[in-house]
Amino acid sequence: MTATPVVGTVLAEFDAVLDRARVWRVDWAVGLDVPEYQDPEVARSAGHPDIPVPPGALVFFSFLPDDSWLERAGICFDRSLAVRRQIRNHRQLYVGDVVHGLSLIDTVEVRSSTKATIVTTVIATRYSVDGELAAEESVTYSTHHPEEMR
Amino acid sequence: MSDDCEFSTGALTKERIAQFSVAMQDPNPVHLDPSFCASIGLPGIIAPGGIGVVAIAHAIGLRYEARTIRELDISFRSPVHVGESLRCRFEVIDEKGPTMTLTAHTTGDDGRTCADGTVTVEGEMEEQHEDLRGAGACVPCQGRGARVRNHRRCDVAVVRGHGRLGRDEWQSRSERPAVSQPTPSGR
Repeated sequence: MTATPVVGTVLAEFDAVLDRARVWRVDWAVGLDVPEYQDPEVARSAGHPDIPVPPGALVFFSFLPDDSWLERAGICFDRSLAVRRQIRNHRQLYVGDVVHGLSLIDTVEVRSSTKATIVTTVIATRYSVDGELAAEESVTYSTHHPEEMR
Repeated sequence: MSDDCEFSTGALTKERIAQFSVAMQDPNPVHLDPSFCASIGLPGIIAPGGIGVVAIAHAIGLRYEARTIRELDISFRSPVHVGESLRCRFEVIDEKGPTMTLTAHTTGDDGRTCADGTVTVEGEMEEQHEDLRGAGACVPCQGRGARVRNHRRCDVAVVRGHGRLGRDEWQSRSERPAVSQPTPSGR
C-alpha cells in the first residue's frame, strides 16, 4: 500500500548557483556547439553578462539536497514516469546567477479502476533571483499503482 | 502559417545521456542503470525527457535568436533509446506582434513522436538580406528571397526557410575572409 501525496507539501527550498559545468554538459548532450553558449567572452561580446542558461536546464530535482522528496511526492521509479514539463520564463538566467527555489506538490489527481490506480502528481517550482520571480517550472509524473491506494 | 525548420541532436549515445543525467543530477536509474531497466521490462537505458526539452529550446534559440522563450509546455510521448537521434520540428501557429506561438515535435529514428507541445517566444527578430559585416549581398539566400539573420558573430547564419548554415558552409558560399573560431576559456 502506498500513501497518496498531499497537495501543498513543500519538497524543498533551496539556493543554488547556476554553474557553467551544468550548461556545458547540457549543451554537449544535445549536440549544441555554438560558442555563444560555451565561451563567456563570446557571450559577453554578444551582449550577455555571461553564458545564457537554457530554459530546459532548470530542473527542480537537480537542486534538491537529497532524494527524500521522492517518497513525499509518491514517486517510485519502477512505476513512475515524467510525462510533461512546463516552463515559464520571466527573465533570462545566466551562469553565475544565484537562484532561490521553492518546490512543492501542486496538484494530485487519482484515477482508479478495478485493475490499478493511476496517480498524476504535478511538482511546481518557483525560481527567483534577488527576490524577483525568474522562472516557474512544473513537472508532471504519472505513477501506476497495481495495489489499492490509501 | 507554416515556418518549418529542423534540428537534430545526432545520436544520443550512452555517454551523452550520462552527461545530461549527471548535470541534472537526475535520480532516475532508467537513464544510467541497464540492470534496473531490465528489471522493469525496458530493453535498455532511455534518455531523460529533459534532453528533448533542451533540444527544442536550443533549436528555437538557433532559429529565432533574437527572441526569448517565454513558455514551453512539452509532453513526453515515448521513450528515447540509446543511439537514437532526436529531430526537432516546429511550425508557427500564431504570431501577434512580438509574440509567436509554435508547435514543437521531436521524433525518434523511426519517425515516432517522442515529445510534443507548444512554445511561446517573444521579441523582435533581426531580419536582413545583407551580411551584417557589409561584405556584400546575402550569400546564403542567393537571391531566392529567404530572410536571413546573422548569428551575431558572422560565423553562423540562420536562413529562414533554408535551415541553419554552419561557418564552413557560410564561408564556402561567400568570399569573406575566414572568421577565427573563439577559444573556449575558463573550463
